[in-house]
Amino acid sequence: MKKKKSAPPRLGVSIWKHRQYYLILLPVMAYFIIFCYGPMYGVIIAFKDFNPLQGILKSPWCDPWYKNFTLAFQSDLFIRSLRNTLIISFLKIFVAFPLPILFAILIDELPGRRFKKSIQTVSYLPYFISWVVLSGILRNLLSTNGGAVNNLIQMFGGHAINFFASKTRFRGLVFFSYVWKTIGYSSVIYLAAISGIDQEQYEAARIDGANRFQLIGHITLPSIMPVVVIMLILSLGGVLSAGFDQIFNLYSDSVMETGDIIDTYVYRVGMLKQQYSYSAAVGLFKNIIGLVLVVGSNLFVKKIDSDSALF
Amino acid sequence: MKRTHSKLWKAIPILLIMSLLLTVLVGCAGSGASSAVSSSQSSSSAASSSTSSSSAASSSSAASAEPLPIKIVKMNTYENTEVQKVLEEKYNVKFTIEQVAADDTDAMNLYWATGNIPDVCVFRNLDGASLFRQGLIRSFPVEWLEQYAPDYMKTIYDFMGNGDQALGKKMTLSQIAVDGKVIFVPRDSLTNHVGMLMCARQDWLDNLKLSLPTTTEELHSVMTAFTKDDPDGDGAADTYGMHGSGSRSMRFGYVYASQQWWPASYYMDDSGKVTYSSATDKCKEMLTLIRSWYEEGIVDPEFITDNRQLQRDKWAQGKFGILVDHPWWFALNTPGNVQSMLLDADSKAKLTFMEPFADSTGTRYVNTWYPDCVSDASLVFGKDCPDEAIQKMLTIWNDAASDWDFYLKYSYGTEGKDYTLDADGRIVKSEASQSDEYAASFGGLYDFAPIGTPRDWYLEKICPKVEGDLYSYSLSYKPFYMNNNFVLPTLDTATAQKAADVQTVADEYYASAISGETNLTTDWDAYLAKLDAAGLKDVIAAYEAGGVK
Amino acid sequence: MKKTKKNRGATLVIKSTGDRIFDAVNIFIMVLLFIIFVYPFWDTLLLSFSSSASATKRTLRILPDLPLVFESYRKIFTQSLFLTALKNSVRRTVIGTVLSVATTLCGGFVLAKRSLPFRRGITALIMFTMFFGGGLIPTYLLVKSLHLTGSFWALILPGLTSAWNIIIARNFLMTVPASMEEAAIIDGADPFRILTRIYVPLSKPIIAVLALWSAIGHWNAWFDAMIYTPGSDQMVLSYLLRKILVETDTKVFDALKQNTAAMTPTTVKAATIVVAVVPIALLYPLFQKHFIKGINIGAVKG
Repeated sequence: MKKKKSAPPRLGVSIWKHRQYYLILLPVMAYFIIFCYGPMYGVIIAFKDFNPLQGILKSPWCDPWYKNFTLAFQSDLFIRSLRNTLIISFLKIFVAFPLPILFAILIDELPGRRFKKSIQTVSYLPYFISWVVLSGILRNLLSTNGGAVNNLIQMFGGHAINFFASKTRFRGLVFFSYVWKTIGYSSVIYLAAISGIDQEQYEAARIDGANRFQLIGHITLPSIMPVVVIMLILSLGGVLSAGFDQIFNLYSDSVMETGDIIDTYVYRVGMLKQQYSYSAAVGLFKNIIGLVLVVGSNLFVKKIDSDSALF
Repeated sequence: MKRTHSKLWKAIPILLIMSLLLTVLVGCAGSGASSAVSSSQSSSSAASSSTSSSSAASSSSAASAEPLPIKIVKMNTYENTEVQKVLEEKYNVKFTIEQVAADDTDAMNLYWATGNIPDVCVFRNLDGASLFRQGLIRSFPVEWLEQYAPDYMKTIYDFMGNGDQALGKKMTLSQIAVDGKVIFVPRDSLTNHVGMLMCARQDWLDNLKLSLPTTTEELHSVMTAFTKDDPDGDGAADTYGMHGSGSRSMRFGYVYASQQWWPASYYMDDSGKVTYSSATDKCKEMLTLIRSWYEEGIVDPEFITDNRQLQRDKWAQGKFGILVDHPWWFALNTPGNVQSMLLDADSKAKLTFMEPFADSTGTRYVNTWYPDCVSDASLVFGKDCPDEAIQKMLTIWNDAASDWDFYLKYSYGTEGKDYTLDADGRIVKSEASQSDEYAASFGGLYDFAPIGTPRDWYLEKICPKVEGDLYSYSLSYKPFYMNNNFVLPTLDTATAQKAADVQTVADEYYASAISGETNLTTDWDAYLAKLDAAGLKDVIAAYEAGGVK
Repeated sequence: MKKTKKNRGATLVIKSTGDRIFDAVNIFIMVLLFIIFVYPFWDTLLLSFSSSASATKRTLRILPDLPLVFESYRKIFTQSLFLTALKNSVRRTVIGTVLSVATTLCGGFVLAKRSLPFRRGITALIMFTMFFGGGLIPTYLLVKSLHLTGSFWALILPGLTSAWNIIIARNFLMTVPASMEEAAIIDGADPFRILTRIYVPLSKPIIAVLALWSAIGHWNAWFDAMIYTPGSDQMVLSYLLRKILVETDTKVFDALKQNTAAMTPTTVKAATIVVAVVPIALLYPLFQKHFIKGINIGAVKG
């Protein structure tokens, strides 16, 4: 919708006109200023040799200032964990991402109100089971000696597979268990988006003779696209956090090669003593990469459809 | 109706603004800028004034009329328990319990990092050396230990030296000091010195008419029989000889101990040279052995990835016949112990403990940890802690270790109500006394003086005989140290990263060599090169420079 | 404003064969998924009613082992700490969610106003916090200097809202047609009224989602409770649960009794999980009806 191009209102007048909006915004800004920008100076911990007695501000600067960053990169195992993190994250962001959307659409298409409600509720349950418990259940199911999955495989003539010890299969294990746990939770936002679509569009299209798939492709999907794009861009921000809790409970020495991620690596290094500056540096690195990806993908999206972008 | 409705909604953002502004105002009226130093300064000035007054009082050796305030971090946050009140009255102190989740490492790290400094801190899993070097905790004269807590120190020397007081004293003094200054009040307990035991399913041995294995070769035969000869008589080939994990401290028990080898461990010889056990030829030899067992199928192949819970579930379900564990976990009175787990599932099971295997000289070893009297529940003191507070705490600990009635009454409560005595006269706690309410209302001496019960008391008066017998049995054998046989120094961040990397490489190789993924003969040199690339030499150099034996 | 009737189950449209096949396949997939989703919880539920003898069995748990054992639940409900934790968690979740949703909506609403001066700048300021933060130490120091440590509000205020949620709320609110807002302005409504009379009723789906996310976040949060309110009378359920479930590798075996988790029987651990999940599972339909089409009645969308 194009705005009429008249002379733009003067800034002061515009601010005054919007004064009540600013008032509504005030608690929000107060929150961000106090609780987000207030502690922001702590970012410099990554560049300091932190000493609790002197506090963050008075602790000495690292010599050289990038010492903590280069330290992490000196380790081949850190680089390996970085690689694994990227692979697992991309699996989660690009391959796992469409699944909750598909799930939401399928649920929406289900006949029968009660069934719809109950399957949606039940899909939520795995999210509440912690990885500690879920990994125990998974080990049970995937056991080479009496586990349900391997029993099935053997029934069809195959050999039992030790999923937890297999480097090649570990990422698959991570992927599927991740989808299992989160698909219900992730689908909620898309269900909400679908429920906001105007029903008249569907009725009009049906009268025109559209079939199921056309309805989904031409109405449902485009309508929720803004939400999808936003969720995708925002998820890219977390690309270097591949899920500590999950990996920690599933991995073992056999699969370190493909399963060790940045967070589990730093955890093992940090176990020996308080490594604040080190973990702060790694955290900062993760966040910068996340920011670059978000800004980059946002620019990309802007070129396609300026309204869907983040800012 | 519309008017009031919108007024209500209008109110919400205003309420939010007001509440946020209020908190900010309240906060600003308080200590002002969020600097760590200012908050610690205000508490330190209060403490130092009491120091000057109390040192004057102690020099005249008259108890100050005012109770001495002591800010203490203990393992839970319960305040004003019965025991606390008793101690306050008896020793004329006033405890302030710091509200921090002291059993969690992250919470404690945060506590210290944000400038909190207590007077007394029960300490575990943290790095005392760096806290001291950063100036957060203080040292105290070593003479005070034997001056104020002579009986307690005797029990420590007894633990650390496994009965040898002189050896124990030497080892204790080397661990409690950093840069020549004593910072820890040591704490040790009997169970830390007890080595792992191995047991076998006697009912399976009986079914197959085998005798208890006494050497690694015999173990191999028994394991083979357990796997191939259907020892549980159910007609299914569903059993293994052994499992092989459980936790890093269990593994293959006697097999390793009798070879004087343990994975991923640093050993210092008498000349001060340090070697890494996972880089030696012995490592290759042991891995070859286990690899052959794995290939033969007599070990549960899932042991490499199983966690402890899984191992125990399999044990309880009779999936393997030999188990390695700490005697605590074998003792029938321990909740969740491995014997009861098995007996609950299969009442016909019988267990017999195996004698540790002998090495080439005929000495029998049990694997245990290197004596450590500072990492677990030792005591440190904040930088502004007054001398008198340290002396009082030492006195309390000493009384706990020397006065049996005092210890009994405030650790276990009243006989009949909180505990009963079993047939051997040993203590059986009632269910009520193990609840959180009890800990919150009555508390215990272990809050303020978590001493390891002196050996005689523990074995003769407290510990149920089924447990005590196992300890005595294990303690009668020579200890073989896992992980390290000297005190490890604190590493700086760069070296700590290397040490973590080295361990990862070693652990990965352990797993892949046994499973057959890597070839022990052809890949060995590449593995050694990987260890070097991870920084093994630097780690060893750091340990040689700072390690104390 | 036109009201649109939502379909309540049976459609008035004749289904083609293609449609029927689609439905059949869809239902089949969903039934399979239903089983897969329910299974972890079902397994845990059955475990919580097992005796210790059958708890170690590693087979697929489909039917309960009779007789049902209630010992694990008895152990939990007789703990006073458990009831305190439950009470605190409920209190925190309710208050936290209400305040959180209100704040987030305010933020999303204002940022959705395209004509707002400095809109991009403010958005950027807020988004910046999504990537850069001071970390645990300065945040803790701030909370301490505001005298909030040990206070219930330390669990609510530091996480009151987030850039992520505000952006999502903003984008959702931006889909409200401008015509409705213009109509209201012509009628003389001020922003407060626009927010409450127009946006809020139209945003029930996103409000439900935000409320759900916030409620779950508060219900599951344990780390902030451990750091800010470690006192036992302020214990929250998720922290208690964690202490019961998560084993750490400790050497100390004696009277210090540090490692609760290692000694708690698996059946009691399972019962604790069930008790923590059931309240959320029961409350979920209340949220759900706002974002599942065909379930809520009379949604208004012109």
